[in-house]
Amino acid sequence: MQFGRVDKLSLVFAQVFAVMSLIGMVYAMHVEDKLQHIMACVYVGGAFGCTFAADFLTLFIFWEFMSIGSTFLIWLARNPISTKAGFRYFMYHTIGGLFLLIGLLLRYKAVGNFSFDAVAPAQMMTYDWMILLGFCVNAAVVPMHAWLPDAYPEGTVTGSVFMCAFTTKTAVYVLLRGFHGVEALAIAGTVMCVYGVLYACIENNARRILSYHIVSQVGYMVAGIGIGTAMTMNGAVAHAYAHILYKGLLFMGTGCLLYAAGTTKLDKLGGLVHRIPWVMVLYMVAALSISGMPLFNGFISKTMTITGAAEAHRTWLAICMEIAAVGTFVSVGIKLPYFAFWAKPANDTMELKPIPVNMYVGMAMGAVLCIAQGLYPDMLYRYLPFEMEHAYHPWTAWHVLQSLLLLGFSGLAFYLTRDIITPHAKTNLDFDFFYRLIGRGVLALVSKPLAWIDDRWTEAYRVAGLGGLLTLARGTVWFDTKGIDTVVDGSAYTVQNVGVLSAKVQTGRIQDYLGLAATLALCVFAVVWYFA
Amino acid sequence: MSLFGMLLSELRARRGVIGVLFFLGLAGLVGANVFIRPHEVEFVYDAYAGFWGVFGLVGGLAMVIVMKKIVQPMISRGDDYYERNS
Amino acid sequence: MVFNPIQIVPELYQLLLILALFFQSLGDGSDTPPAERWLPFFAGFGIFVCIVSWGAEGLLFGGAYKIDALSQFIKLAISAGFYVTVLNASRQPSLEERKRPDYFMFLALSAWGLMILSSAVELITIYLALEISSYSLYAVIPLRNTGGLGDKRAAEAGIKYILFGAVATALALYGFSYILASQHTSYISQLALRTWTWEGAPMAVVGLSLFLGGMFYKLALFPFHFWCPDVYQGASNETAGFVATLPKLGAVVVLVRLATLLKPGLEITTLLAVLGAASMTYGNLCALAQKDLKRLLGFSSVAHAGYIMVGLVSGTAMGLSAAVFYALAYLVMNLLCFWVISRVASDGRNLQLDDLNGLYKRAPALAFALGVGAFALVGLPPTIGFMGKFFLITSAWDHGYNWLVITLVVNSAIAIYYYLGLVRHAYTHEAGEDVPTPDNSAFSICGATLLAALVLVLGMVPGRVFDFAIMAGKQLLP
Repeated sequence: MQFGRVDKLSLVFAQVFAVMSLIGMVYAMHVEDKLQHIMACVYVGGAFGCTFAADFLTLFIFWEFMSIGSTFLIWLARNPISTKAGFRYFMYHTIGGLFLLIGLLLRYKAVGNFSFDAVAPAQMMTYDWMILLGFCVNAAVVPMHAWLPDAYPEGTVTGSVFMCAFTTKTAVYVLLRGFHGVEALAIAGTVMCVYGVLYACIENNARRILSYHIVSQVGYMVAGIGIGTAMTMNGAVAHAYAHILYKGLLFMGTGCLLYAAGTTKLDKLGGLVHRIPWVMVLYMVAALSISGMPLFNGFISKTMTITGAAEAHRTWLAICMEIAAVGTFVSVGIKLPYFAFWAKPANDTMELKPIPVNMYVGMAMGAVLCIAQGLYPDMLYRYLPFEMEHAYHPWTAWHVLQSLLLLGFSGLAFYLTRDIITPHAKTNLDFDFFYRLIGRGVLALVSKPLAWIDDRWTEAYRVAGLGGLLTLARGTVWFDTKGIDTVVDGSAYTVQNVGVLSAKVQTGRIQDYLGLAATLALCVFAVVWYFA
Repeated sequence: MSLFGMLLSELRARRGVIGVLFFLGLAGLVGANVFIRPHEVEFVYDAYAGFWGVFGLVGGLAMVIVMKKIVQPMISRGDDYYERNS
Repeated sequence: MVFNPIQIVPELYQLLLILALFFQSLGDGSDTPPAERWLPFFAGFGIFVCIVSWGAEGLLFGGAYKIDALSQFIKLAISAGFYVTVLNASRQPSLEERKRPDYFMFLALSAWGLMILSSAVELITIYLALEISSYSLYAVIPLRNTGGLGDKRAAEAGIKYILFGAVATALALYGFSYILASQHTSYISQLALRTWTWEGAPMAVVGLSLFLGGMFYKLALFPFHFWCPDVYQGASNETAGFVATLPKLGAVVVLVRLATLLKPGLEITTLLAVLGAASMTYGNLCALAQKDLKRLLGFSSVAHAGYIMVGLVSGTAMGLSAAVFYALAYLVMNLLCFWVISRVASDGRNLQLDDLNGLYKRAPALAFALGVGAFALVGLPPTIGFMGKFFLITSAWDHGYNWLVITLVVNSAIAIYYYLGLVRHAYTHEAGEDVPTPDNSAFSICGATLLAALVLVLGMVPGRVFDFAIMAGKQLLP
């Protein structure tokens, strides 16, 4: 059982995790609640552990560390909604972890070791599917994704920045390591892409929009893993790297909104651009990155994935990915900032807390990296682990033009539908509707019937068991005092009385003594001689 | 309000101008597409100039209209739907 | 035959002591130091004198007197016991000053008789030695002076002892005549070669039984024990301390020597076994009812005499060694108990069980010593009593008298009651009003502690002493 494994794949992920944790910690420097920092470190540590794990058992241990750390990052927001959300999150991730555990234990029984290596897609056994299921929960594959939009918006201002980067990307890493080429992932990934953006178009809470977007973007990566060619897998790695940076930046931006204005609900925000202009700018950097605008790192990563899909002749997958790209720009690229910063007339009345400098610094670090990677793609490409037949060059005229066309006309679409797309304060039902239903059902089962059975059992125990024991005890006491003591004491007293009687023979008269001595001696002699 | 904020407010005042510039840009892109073509055709329609523009526009419109007008009325509930029940 | 005086140095020394005491008793005692002052030292020196002739071997005086490992072992024990009883008796409140030299002379004479008894291997010699030791004791038992007139009970005890002893020794002599008539010899070594079955030599068997009766009287074995409790009770505490301990040792020696005649399965052996069983049981049962401490110890002596029989009937060297060892253990345990009794009864009275109440507060060292003595008499580890019983049981098991061994064990259980009654009274009862003040001087505590230590140490590491006993036994029954 090897503990750790360091190779190009794990190193590239570890690198981006390290960068992100630095940016996140800088962003969170103003937080005085030590527990948040501790839990963030636990969480990041778990992610590192997972990245470097060479066997399933180590992976599982660090998987759970991540789960614990992230749960606390939600709970430490310390309001009723976040407490409940954190609880649901934790239960859900525990179930996901259990899937993983079942899978790896079954695999151990079948294979005999815990080594964590790639599975041949054609020969996947039940335990491989269980492990895959566990990974997919963390990767927020539809339909097991609903925890993400449920919990991430409720995290702390700084906690969500951490969370958006690590859980899902660790899942992507392990999927890359273990399950590349599994067809189901290709399909699932594409579904995720589209599903995420569709919900993002209708959501109201900014961080929820971003959460659905995580689903969508991870879908690109999962699809890339599923397709399984070197280019798509490299695309997935590159996309993960870029995604961590720009998604972190997006959450940092909305985190600033939350910190300053106290809410991220788009229907309540608006007209704030002149008061927090730099937040807007840094946010837009990320927004354009995520959309795939040339000059930013989304351009160099997303297009690689799509091109890879097309070159693998998965036409429909490529089309869906392009649709998702459209939706991304519309929702995150335009809708969110428009309704957060513009939309309404200049809002000078809303109370805005001053934003600490470290938050700006963190965001600036992220933005710089986004732009740098966009301008100089080799900065990212040199770390890509998989060997491709031919290098991918994003900065070609066609690629730039295509992206600009796509994005430009998506923008036009937004312009035309800007009244329809106005967010309203509503909750959109998602798969978590079913989760809550199941949860409530289990709770009812335990609290009513099982509790009743337990009460009956306790009652029976008290009456029959305890009562029986006390009766037995009384019986033994009676036996002891009446039975045993009588025999023992009786025999002792009897012996003593016999002794008293015998002592009476000693009369004190010498004639008695002599007579007795002679008589007894003769009797004994006679008896012995007669019988011996 | 910072200097940058004032700049942005100014820009906001001139949104009409920005809108015109935007449409000009879009037209320019379509025009460029006539000349710059992909060296490999990924789809059948890739060959056509302006395909991706149309794709983006139609896709965006479809997405927004379908989601906001058809899907959301079906699946949306009150803002505190879950808090009420749980 | 070469006569080497070294071989009989212990007897000679004891004789010197007797002579010195005799001359002191002739005078009026005013210009000589009191006997009780100088005698303990010289008696103690006598122990070392015995060690001088340790390991001596020889057959003296026409084959009637044998010096071997057994005799020297017993002589050492006797001189040690004599020393302790002299020490004990040196502080005797009920003994007139005028009579003290005589008292000690007779004690020394009795001890000397016992020493001769341990070496005698011819029946008449045995008889003579027995008479010497017994007659000396007849004289000292009435010497108990409470209230100036002499204790009537002590006189009564003395009379009983004399008369009972007279009958017993008469019977012994009668038996001796039968033996001599039928077996034509009185030397034990030659008697060992004769037949002793009822069919083969009925007269000899009867004679031996009668002769043994005399020994049984000295040992206080049932049914010749009736004198024992009365004499102990009547004599003064210190005299009883001598009577209870040393004569038993002598009797055991003779029985051990005669046991070479006793093969298992012989009627005479079965007789011994039956008498031993009866003695144990009767002695323990009677002791349960006693309130007077010396009477209680008297009955316990009867029981212990029965225990010793267990070693004699097995017919093996180990059995004889176990009997000898047990006799030694008995000596030490009883010396300890009588020491404590003599010290607690500082006015010389007869102690009742209630007089022991609260002893743990009044005299804690004495109470502890009494406890050790009581535990030893019961046969609880780590005392010498346990070791003695243990050796007896292991040597006697599987030699045809298993029922006797079982009787021994059962009797030990019965005896626990009255022995631990001593401890119970000393430790759990609170002192009444009319209780004697125990002697808490350094002398008393030292003596008690040393005797208790001896009981415990020999109980925990009996090896060296038991090796001597084994050596003695092997010489008798190779």
